Amino acid sequence: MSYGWMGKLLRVNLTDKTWTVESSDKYHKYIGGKGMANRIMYEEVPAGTEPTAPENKIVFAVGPNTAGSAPTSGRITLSSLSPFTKYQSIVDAHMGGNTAMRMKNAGYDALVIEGASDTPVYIYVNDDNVEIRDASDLWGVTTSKTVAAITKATVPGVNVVAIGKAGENLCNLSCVMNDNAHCGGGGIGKVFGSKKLKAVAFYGTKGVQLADPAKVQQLNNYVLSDLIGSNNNHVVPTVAQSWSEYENSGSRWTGHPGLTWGAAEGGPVDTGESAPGQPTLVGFRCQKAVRDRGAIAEKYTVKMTGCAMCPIHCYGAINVPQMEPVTGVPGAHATTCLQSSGFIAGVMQNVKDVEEEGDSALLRSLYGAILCDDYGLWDNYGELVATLNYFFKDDYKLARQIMTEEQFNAINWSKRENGDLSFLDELIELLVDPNHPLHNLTAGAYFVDQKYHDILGDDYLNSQAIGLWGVMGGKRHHGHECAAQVGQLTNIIYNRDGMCHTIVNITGSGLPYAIQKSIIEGLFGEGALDAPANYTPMNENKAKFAKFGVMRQVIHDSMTLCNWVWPMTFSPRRERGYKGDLTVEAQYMAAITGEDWDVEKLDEAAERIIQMQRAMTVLSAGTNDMRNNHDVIPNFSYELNPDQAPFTPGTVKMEREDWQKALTMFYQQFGWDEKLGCPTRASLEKFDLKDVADELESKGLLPA
Amino acid sequence: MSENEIKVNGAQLLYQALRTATEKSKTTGKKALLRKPPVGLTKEETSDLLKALEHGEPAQELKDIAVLKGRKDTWYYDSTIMTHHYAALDSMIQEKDILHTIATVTRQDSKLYPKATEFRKLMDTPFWFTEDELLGAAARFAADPQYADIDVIEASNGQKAFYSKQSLDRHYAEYLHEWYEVGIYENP
Repeated sequence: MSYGWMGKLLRVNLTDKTWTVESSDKYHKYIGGKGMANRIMYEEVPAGTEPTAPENKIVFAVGPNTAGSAPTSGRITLSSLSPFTKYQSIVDAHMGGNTAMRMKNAGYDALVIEGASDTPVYIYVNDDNVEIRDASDLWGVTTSKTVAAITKATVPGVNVVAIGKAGENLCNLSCVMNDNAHCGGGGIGKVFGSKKLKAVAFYGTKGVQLADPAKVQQLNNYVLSDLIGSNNNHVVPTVAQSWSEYENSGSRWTGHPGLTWGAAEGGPVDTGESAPGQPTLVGFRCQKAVRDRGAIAEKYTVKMTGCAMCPIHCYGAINVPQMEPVTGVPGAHATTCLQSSGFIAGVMQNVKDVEEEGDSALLRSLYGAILCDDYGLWDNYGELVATLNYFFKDDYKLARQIMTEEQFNAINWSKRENGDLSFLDELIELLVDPNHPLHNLTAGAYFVDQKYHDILGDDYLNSQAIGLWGVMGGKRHHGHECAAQVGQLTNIIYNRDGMCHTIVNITGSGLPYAIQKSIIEGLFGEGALDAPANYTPMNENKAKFAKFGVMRQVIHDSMTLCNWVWPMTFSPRRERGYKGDLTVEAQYMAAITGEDWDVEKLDEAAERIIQMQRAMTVLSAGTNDMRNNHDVIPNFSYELNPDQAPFTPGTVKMEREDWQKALTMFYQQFGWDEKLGCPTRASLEKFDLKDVADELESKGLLPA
Repeated sequence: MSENEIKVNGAQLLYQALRTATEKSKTTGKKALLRKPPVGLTKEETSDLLKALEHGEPAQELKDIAVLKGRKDTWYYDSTIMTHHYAALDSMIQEKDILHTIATVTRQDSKLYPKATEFRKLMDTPFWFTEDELLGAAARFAADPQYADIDVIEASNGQKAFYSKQSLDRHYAEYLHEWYEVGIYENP
């Protein structure tokens, strides 16, 4: 018996409508989740495959820790080829909700979807029963109605992962949604759409077998009592509480006496004080609706919700009654973080308050979020709305240039300018219409630039307004504004936005800088962590810190745990000197699998995954010069605060030569070629990746 | 009942009073305690117990009670459930010296995190100052040499904050305040 793992991989072929079950055992050295999914993609999808070709695949994968009861172990990775970034290389969508747990309940560690259907279908997995069902009636239907229809047609408690019209109509920036709230981005919706795959539904009755349940329970209690804080593992409350030595308004530990879930059933629930050592109160620490939407959201907050196995629950479930009379849509929704901005709602101007001062912003963002979720339109971490506003600025100067006069005049722009939210209904229909020029703006920044470079020049991709981490087209997702070179370096590992929270969880923890610095320097050496916006030139310890950041993310996305909360670098307990515990992930792996996992072995497996993923990127790019083709950051990073020099207080400005030095030091950490930034035979064979090295060599992509 | 038993019971009564206040996130001031001793204790008994506490010779029952010297009073709290930091904040608030309170908090925030001290922080628990009070304080800071280091800045969203020039120059403080008010929400 294999503990933690379910032991099976389900393979569904949409071309011939067949399915098979295989052993998942050979992927154990890739931890699971992201590692397993990336390895399957490496073995089965040749570099250079078009993302929308039937030969491309979608891999759902979880790890041994998934749904084993560890806090936040409800994550899943979906891997495929990126439709929206340069080189269209391997990309991951990390998703919460209940998909991971339900897939494992059904008995599978991975689902590989291959081929393509001629007609719309959905896959229904219920334990050993697998069906490929007709979805013709669901094509064109919103994600929420799809979830409802498939639930009605199958079994209560089923988890449905669905695309909307954005995926169906092949918008590069499209996602899948599950449970009407949880999104898997990265353009994966387009790959679904290209396969005429409307949805995947999971249900099952199996449990995860643990090698040492008592140890797992002990670890759970330890994490909940001594290590975990709030969302992003922020360990300091926003306002002073009697048990706390510190308070920081930037923290996501928003719960405090007097702040409520104002619309809770039975009356407001006070979030109160939730001092460390009280596991049952952890769920009151994150009043995320107020954090994301402002104080006005308090009275509309029904509760906090979130993913399976998560004690934090960072999704604010709100009900705003005044929305339905304005939009015709009930104002009930749950969402978190950037999604709470309502994505495309950011183009609206002059939206008027309805019942009270300030509710216009709430209505606008809520309606935008519901629309985008229902259409499965993905925002690329704020890039889409930035692109729309870039084209709409200066009296629609650029928008006019990409449309005919007739097309432009057919749009009721006055609705936008007068705050009529029905403009969003019209806009989103045009965005997902493959025959309309505005659809091109959903291609992702790299492809938008490719198509319209003649009118955009060099400004668009390099601008702060678009805010990419690199000219690949991935959005900056905690870059140089977060721990200087350290944050920026974490981004280059990926072919989309980094989604790496290891570093920002530290800098955003709420602790005083001196405490952060002391703990981080204890781990990585002097000078590893700069003060906020008071940076110093690159050094080797920063490179070690950056490597730690991505290694931990890969571990979390593979075993799986939520990197929006892990690692436990810090603790809320002053008795611990606020030091967390970085051995817990390995302890979970050992307790769950019964295998000999420790920190070193987990790190080794994580680096194997990173080496392989980097090689896959090289293969997709057809060049091994990553430094000059992949790891290029936009000009705005160097051009902020024109009157101020880099490395002075009050700017996060980068310096060109220093960035090149940072890359070199980072490459050294992985044993990559120092000039090119690509894996070498030695760096690959060190991690049992000789087959990958051989393929690179056969294509002339190994450095000399 | 022996004299010793009376003392022990008295210490218990005092401890219960101080702990109950601490559980409500409140420090207890000496003046108020002596004005209205815990039920079952006289003013003299209370005074004796507090003196022993302040001299570092507390009754066994009061060993967890910490003493904090304020500007206008002496304050007591149960250190097993309240931090010195919070006790200092609460005692300052109870002493009602708004300039001293704001300046102390601002100097700490500017030095420690570092960050500016948002008006909205000071308008929330446990301070509950009004905007008018804060604007009034800002005007008085400008005229009082002992607070010459305290100044006000404003982010692009209109939110104001205090910062201390002892730890931050204006430009740096403005960057940090803008980050906490705007940047942090654009980079969630």
